[in-house]
Amino acid sequence: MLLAGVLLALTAARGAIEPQDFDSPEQAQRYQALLAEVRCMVCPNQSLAASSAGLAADLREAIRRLINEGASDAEVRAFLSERYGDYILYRPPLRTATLMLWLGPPLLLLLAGGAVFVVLRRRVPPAENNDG
Amino acid sequence: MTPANAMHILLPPAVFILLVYVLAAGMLKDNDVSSSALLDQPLPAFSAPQLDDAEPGTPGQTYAGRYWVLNIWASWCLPCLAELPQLHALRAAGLPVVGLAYKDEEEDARAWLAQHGSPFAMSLQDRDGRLGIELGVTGVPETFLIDPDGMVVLKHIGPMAPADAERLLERMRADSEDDA
Repeated sequence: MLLAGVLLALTAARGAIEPQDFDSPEQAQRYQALLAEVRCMVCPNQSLAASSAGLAADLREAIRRLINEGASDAEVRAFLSERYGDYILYRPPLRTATLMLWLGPPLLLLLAGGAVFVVLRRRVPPAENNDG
Repeated sequence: MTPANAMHILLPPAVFILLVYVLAAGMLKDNDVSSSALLDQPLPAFSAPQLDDAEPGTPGQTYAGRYWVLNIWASWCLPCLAELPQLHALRAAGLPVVGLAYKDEEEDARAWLAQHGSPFAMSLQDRDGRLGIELGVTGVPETFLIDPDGMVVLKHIGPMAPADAERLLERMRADSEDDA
């Protein structure tokens, strides 16, 4: 009950600061989803949704405007990365510059897995030598 | 110890140290990528209200065909005061410096310029910060060097020290010699 009250108060406070007038609930949902995947440029490791910085508020306003003007999610992302670079997106697009970012972890996993495989195979001695 | 044994013992820590080194280098690197989006790209065409003129200013048109500097500043920004001598130096070197008062009250911006002396050939304002978003501004001050083709050739984030202004002028001279 208390929790519900706190949540309600939070929602109300947020609504008071930044009116989120969308034509459809679907747009409001897209807005919230986009905020979660955009970096606040002046407060590292916070998303736009989580940040109270002035620039974050301006960027939220810009995203809200774009959505209301009928922009797709891809268009909103393009708008942001054209101005602030891929760094602003928590999921940067696959390009030459971001290739290692995307392929690095699976590559490392593959290498480590391969190493483990080789080591384990060597640990089991072949049957004919197993006399000691 | 055979060479093969030594390899077995040394390889895992070596790989580990290499990994830590790469990750640490990535974390400690000065994250300058935010400045790169407009670099070597054309500055978006824009017009903005002027502080000292009823007509909106369009610096991209006014200074087309020559080098010019765009400085984002605000009267509430203390580092902007610190870099003011550098802006005056750029202007003295013959560069038109265009000021954009970012998220500032018109009266405050005018009073600040009157008090400290305006370095600006053109003085624009961006009251709500919308133009700042178009330009990829993350804060004040920021300074762009724009070449005769309207491309952003250099962007400086934060207050310019005398050496930074000198670097900007050198970049301009080097660029114009390449073109000649």
